[in-house]
Amino acid sequence: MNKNTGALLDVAGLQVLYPIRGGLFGRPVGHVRAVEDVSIRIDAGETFGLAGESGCGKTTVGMAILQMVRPTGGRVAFEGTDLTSLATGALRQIRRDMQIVFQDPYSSLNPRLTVGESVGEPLLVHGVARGHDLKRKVGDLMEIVGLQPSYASRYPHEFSGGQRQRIVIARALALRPKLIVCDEPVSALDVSVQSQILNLLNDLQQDFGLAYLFISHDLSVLKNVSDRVGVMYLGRLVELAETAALYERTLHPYTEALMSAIPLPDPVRQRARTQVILSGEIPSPSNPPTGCPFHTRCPIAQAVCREKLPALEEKRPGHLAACHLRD
Amino acid sequence: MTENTTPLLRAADLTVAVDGTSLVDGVRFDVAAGEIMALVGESGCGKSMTALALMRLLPNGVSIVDGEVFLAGRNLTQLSEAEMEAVRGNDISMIFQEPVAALNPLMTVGDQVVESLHAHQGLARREAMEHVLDMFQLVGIADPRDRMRQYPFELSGGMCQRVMIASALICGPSVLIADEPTTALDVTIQAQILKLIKEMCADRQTGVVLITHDIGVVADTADRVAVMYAGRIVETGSVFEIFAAPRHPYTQLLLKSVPRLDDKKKQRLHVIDGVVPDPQHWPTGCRFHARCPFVSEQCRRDRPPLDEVAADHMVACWHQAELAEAG
Repeated sequence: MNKNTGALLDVAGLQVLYPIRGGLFGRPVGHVRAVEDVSIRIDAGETFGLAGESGCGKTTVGMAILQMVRPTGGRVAFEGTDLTSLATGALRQIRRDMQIVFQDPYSSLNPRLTVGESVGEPLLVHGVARGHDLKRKVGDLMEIVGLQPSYASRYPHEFSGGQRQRIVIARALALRPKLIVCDEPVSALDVSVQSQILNLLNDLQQDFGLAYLFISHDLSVLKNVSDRVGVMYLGRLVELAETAALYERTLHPYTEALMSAIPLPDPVRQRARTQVILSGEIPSPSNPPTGCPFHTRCPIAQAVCREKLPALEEKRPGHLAACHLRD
Repeated sequence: MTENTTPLLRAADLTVAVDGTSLVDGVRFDVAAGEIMALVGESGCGKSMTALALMRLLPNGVSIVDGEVFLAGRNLTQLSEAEMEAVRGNDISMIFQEPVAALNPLMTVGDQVVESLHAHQGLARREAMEHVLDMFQLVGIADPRDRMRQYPFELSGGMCQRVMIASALICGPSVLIADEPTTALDVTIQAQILKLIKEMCADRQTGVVLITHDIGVVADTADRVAVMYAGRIVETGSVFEIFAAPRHPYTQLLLKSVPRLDDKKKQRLHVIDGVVPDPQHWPTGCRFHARCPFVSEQCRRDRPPLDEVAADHMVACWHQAELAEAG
């Protein structure tokens, strides 16, 4: 990807290897290739959706961007600064601009802090506000996410999952970040609450010009929130395109299968569909297949797929896919 | 509901309570042989408690305080624990959301299934082994002989769910209770498991109670649907009827609030305002009244009966007739 696009975030050739330790002295005996050669660009105010199943590396990409996991290769440029070479102290300043919202709103709030303390903590830590000013700012944040400011004195256990996720979002907004990594932010929520949170995230993006990296296994959720979508399989991006283009015509057989596996909430249409049901399971990322990582489950795999890794190429304008057989 | 023939499974005004607080309140539904009946609802609506009550496996302190469960005309609520023990596995069995957690980690999966066959049908070990091998093959476990010797942690979630299904169906029960059987699985694996449940149950004419919060799963798999809200059934009917012409405001909103693959990008989602109430604070009258756009004084005061509004379509709403007219 181009270096001088002026993108908010420019990730190039990202690699994350986790060591597998074994033996008496816990020496690394191998690696889990969690993320391999992932390049994505996110512009200010844009939502990039990252799709994939468990173990595909999508969460690791989010963590590596925030340097919560240090990448073993590649570059993560935020507003032109390469974060991978920054020391912890310098990172702290950058982290004001980048926040994260996790999947489970039950475990991402400290149960011993009032929600007001949790929401205000980033402001305090970064010396942005304290005392009366802090209280007012917390109240404002609570209001922005649709909670009564008076709730600030309550504890997390007094809130439902959806409300907790609002609190987590308020905390993420506290420092007025430019980018929020949303890691499955609605997966743990009830259906009727999911849509509330998705609408809230869309509203906040409008109001504050936020960019999101939106990580989800659910392609129907991603369609609702994303401007562009990347699909990962076994640590690699296999397809990347504008949302409309991707959903109109998928190129990679894995994306197709993933799309087809999501049941449509309409019994007539769902039952009339020809579903691609993949055989087999996701291989282990510690021992990925040779060639195209998807060939072991791919319904159209040929000999070349077993031997050669397909490059992520632009098959149509702005539409990238890593497949030998599809153009 | 069919009145003249004995249904395979009938829940008749089933009420489950803990310390005087009802968790399930007057639930009734029928399941016919070979039919998949989906019990749909959000967390805390009592769908899992209903399932456990059908099995008489309620946690300590929680009990059936009213109503009956009939299995082929036999009242299960009046059986002794020893008699019920014989019914479980043989006539009615259950699979759970977390297949890995539901299996014994210290036993090979083969031994676990062999054990249930031995316990319920008194088969000798060698004979039971052959049975299990056949069953593993039937549920699509590759290399069943090797798999039988493995422990749950060595298998993937999808594979463990196949083992659970094999174990649940091996004694040929007439009813299977599946409590969120695919919620913990990836979508491509979910598609495999749903297909397996549909096939196995059609072949063996098993009646299935499928508990889920996922509207897509209902549309894909169910023949009939019962929608639960705050411990009560608010609407039941055939899957096509419920999706084409939902009558209860909760069902209508629930169906509309789901993000769909066929939505437009960044389309604003319908929401159900407010939160799911918990059992200690269940509202008076119609329990949905606090979140219902069509609420009236009567809704706040009186419990609406579950009335038949069309053939095999029942709705518990004071305003369903007006709503149906308004379209």
